[in-house]
Amino acid sequence: MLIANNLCKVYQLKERKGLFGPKTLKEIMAVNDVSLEIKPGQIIGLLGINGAGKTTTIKMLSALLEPTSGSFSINGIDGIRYPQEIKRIVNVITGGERNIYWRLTARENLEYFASLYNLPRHKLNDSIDELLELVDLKEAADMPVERYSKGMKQRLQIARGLVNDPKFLFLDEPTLGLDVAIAKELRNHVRHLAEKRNKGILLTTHYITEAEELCDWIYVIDKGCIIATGTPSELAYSTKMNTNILVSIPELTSGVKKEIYEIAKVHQAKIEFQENTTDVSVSISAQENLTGQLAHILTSNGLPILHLKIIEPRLEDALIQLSYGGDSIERNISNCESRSYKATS
Amino acid sequence: MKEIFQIVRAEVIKQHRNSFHSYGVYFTLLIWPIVVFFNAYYSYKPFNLSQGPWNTFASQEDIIMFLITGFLGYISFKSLLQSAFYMGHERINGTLETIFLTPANRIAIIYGRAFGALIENIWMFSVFCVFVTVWIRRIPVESLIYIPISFIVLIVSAAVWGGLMNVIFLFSRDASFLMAVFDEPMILFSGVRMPTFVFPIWAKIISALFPLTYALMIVRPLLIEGSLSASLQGIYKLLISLLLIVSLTLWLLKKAEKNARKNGNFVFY
Ligand SMILES: Nc1ncnc2c1ncn2[C@@H]1O[C@H](COP(=O)(O)OP(=O)(O)OP(=O)(O)O)[C@@H](O)[C@H]1O
Ligand SMILES: [Mg+2]
Repeated sequence: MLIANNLCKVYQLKERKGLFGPKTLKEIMAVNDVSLEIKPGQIIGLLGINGAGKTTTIKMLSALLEPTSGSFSINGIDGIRYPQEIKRIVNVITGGERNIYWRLTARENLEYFASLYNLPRHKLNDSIDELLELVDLKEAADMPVERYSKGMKQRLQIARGLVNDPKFLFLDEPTLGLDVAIAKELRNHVRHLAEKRNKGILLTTHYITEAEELCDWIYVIDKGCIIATGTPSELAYSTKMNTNILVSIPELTSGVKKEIYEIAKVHQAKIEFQENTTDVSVSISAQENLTGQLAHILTSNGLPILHLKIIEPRLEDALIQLSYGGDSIERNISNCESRSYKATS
Repeated sequence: MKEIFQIVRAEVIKQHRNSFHSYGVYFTLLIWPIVVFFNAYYSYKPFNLSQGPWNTFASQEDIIMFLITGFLGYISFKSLLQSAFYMGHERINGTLETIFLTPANRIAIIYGRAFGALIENIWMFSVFCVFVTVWIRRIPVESLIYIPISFIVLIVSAAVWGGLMNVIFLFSRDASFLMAVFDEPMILFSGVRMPTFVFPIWAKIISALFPLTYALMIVRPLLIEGSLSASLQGIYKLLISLLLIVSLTLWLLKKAEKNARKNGNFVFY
């Protein structure tokens, strides 16, 4: 199990005006009081806009960066005191085409990185074959990486991230720039790693559907602070976004109209009617999903439903609201900023 | 120890794969050093060699030997500077950070890189040197052992030097000035082309900073005069110099990683 408590990271930037100007010290609070937990077999999402602090968090958890304050442990190993031990049992996979040697083949890349983990040689060859199989690069294994497509390079990254058979895997935007089919394939890999191989996975991504599809639990991070947590659907509904229902019916009697107004009044829904040449469309927007009640009114009045569309709140909208405004969480953010002020002063 | 060996091995293989991708490499590794060597040789030829610093040498062959040992040493040291310079690419490619993501022994990586680069870069010119040595000296069988001894001295001191260069590039991404600082001055002050005893005192002080100076003090008596005793006085100087460099390297290495863990700067470029 991975447990992180109150992790903070302050970057200190020395800035100089001109070549000989005075040096000023600028501090950036990249991560502010982040606590999170990952159990083996779980996929945890870390979502947030650019610069929110996701990569910094991952670098601290993989012992590449030392937290300014806070602590974390993985399977009982103290991450601050034993960074080298942590590095044995975690790995990071980053999206994009960097982090591998382009002039080496896939096999040579894996051999090199596996050697750095001090695996015995006889075991090394077997596990490299297995990895190449897993990411479907067996045929291209002996071709220089520079001739690979983006998707192939990304799959090699995954294999590289698995050379030490890590207990916890951190994926930093792993599907960046991949086409839909390959991204889907990659998501299947990720799910496989969690479900079948019991790895704890932390995933950051800008593709919200990906997080919705994969994550058991999501942390939303903004300006270094965790501003919301929950399952994907909990989060989607958390921001008081409305469910929109659009129905079209052949005609509208005043009786039906009255009934609809009544439920709208009870649930504080917004209603719009629009009479078209062949039908009437009704749109209702409310925090609760009123589909059942609406359908009941229509059918009990003998009105056939020609068309029905339900737009439920999506995680994406919730995230935009969380990160770019929305009064419900305003308080939360200002809270966090006052904390950050305290921490740096 | 086994771990260190494995990492060194991995680095050697990686560097080989990474650099041996075209025939152009053979040019820089063999033809270029030979051209530089002949260039030096023929610039001395028109002068009267029985005067000046050269009069301590007996013959033309001695001068060839003097120059060829000098250039072999120089090529070894220079190739390590280049390989350290390549560290900058690793930074850009993100592979540097990926290396530091592993728990691999950092010291092994630093010296593994150096050994890797060295073996890669000098084996061809070395073969040439051995060939020339045997051919012009007609070295007696009992002194053949001096050839491998000379190689070991050169390789060890170059690798120690390379370790330092690697760490300096690890520390700063703006270390390319080292190329300028160390390249030509090393030829001059280490006595690649002329014996250091002709230098004025200030130049001798600078020579003392380059371990190549001492390595050549050992190798040259061995191969030119075939005299072990004459080379002995260089040994303790070389050892002290290498010891100092290794300590500096280890200290900087520790500092570099600490710094990177604080500022996250292994990804800067
Ligand atoms: N090495 C560094 N030195 C100084 N500041 C940094 C450094 N790395 C990141 N930052 C700053 O820390 C903040 C968080 O950056 P981080 O890379 O963690 O964001 P992110 O959530 O991963 O963003 P993205 O989605 O764009 O990848 C940013 O304001 C960034 O400018
Ligand atoms: Mg990032």
